[in-house]
Amino acid sequence: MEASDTSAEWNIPEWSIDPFSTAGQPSISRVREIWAIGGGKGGVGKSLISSSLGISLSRMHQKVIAIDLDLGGANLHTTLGVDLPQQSLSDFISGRTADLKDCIVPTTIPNLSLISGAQDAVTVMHLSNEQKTRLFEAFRKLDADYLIFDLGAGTSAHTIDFFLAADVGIISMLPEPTSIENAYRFLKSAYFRKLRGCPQLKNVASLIDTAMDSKNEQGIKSPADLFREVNAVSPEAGMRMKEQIARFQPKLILNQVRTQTDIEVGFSVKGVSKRYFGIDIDYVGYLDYDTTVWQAVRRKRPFVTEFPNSRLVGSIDRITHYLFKKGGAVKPTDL
Amino acid sequence: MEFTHENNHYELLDVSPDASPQEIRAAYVRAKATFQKDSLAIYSLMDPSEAQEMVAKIERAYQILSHPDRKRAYDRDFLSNPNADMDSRAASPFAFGATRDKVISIDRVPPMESSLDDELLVPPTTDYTAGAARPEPHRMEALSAAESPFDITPRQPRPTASEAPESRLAPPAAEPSAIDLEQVEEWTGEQIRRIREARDFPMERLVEITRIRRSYLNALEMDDFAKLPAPVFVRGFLQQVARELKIPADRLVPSYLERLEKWTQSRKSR
Repeated sequence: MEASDTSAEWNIPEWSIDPFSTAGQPSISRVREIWAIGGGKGGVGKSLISSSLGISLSRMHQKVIAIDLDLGGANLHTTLGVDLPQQSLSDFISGRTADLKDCIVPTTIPNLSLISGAQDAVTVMHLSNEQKTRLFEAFRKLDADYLIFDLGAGTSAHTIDFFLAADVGIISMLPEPTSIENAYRFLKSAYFRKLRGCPQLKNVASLIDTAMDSKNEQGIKSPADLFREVNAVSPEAGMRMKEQIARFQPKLILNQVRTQTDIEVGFSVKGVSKRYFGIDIDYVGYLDYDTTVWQAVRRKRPFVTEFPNSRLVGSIDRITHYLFKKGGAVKPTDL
Repeated sequence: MEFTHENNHYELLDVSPDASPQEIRAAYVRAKATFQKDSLAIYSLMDPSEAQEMVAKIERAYQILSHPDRKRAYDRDFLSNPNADMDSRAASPFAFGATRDKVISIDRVPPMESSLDDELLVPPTTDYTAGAARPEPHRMEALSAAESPFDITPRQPRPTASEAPESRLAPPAAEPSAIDLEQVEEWTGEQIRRIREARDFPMERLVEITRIRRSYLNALEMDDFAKLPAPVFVRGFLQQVARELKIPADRLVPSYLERLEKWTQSRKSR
């Protein structure tokens, strides 16, 4: 576990009571949708997928801003072929820059711009709740159709909050044990934090906290155990819990697949998540292992523009179209 | 499914209640492969005892569902106590209809019981659910057949009302007024169809949104009760349809189920 997973940081601040409060309210939000790419582990292609989805969307005539939220380890600008920008999120968070707009830097790709991540992790580690609220409000008001959040590795509370605040949460995973382990840890953190942030579940908050500690003494091992306990306390809370679960619909992209068996791992993860967490993960696609990507990365050029006719870019485009069409809205029929 | 329906074998295997024996077997094999000891997909999430427990449950479910008599008995018991399940089902995150990716590959077949081997050789990515939307073998990218992310449409700005272009072209059909809905005493499939058509709601869209099989929706509208699954599922279907078509569910659902019940009784007495 990361050092940041301390219980103090996991205290649920008031602002996050419903991180979705601004979602789907066009009156407040200029931005149509926020897509967040996370996945727990480093090196699973979060930045590359972020920049590729961003480029793909921008080519569909959408105004896109890619935002590097890999706080402390920002390198999204490199995957987009942009030099390290002068202005970054740190400036906005610290108040040096009053308007988030001033942190936007253009890229060489039409319709696509970038907000670089904080360079110094310290500013971000101590993000206060007010700062976070201010940040989210500023995000939603940006002049763009889509925002792409490139999340950092790990499961720090900030990262999970950014993931949950997005309309579409995408988990990038490799068909490898280490990546799967971290992806599940990420999923678990997001899952419990989502439940924990639900005001109607306040009276069972201590139970959820217990379940979050995997070595708890009450023997609450799985979400199903938790549900049983919650239901025993209050059937009303049980219903709320189910509602929250139904609203949690992360997407899955399997990266660097080499074989048919690799591809099928995505379906298995989907099946396990359904039975274990009770959630419907949408397995939106997979990306081939492709060495040309590494060539592009070395040249500091986005591979989407470098190899527009490759299979990989075809897959990215298909995933983008799918997500674009489907969007992040949870259909009432799913509830 | 564990949350509320500990004993729902169908959900455990992730098959619909009207799945064919072959589908049930394929689902069983896939479920078992997913939870076997060395499976990548449970790595770090479940400890060996949890996974074992799950495999045991899967075995139990398969023992019952693979055996025609036992399956019939189970279906009957399941129906005899529908109240235990019905209300939670509507809100269940494990609602039916999400069994789209019935894909199984021979690659996934684990080395296990040889007694099954002869029937395990299912070709890769065989989708039993939707013949029409079935991906071509060489387009393995098509993962979820029903709503594949992989159909490339020409790049164009997002149409604002792409969902219902036909409703913009055609003059809006007369909305069934509230009075109409109020006046309906007995709800039939015919009523549902009329409202759906009046709302300019193509069947394709209903299938897509509700994820209920077309054959069921057709059977609902035709009052073709013999083709409908167990009432507990019909209830769920009706609630979804009611929501989409903006029919008051509290009126439609009981009325329709009552007719279904009458029909079942009359068939039994014969």
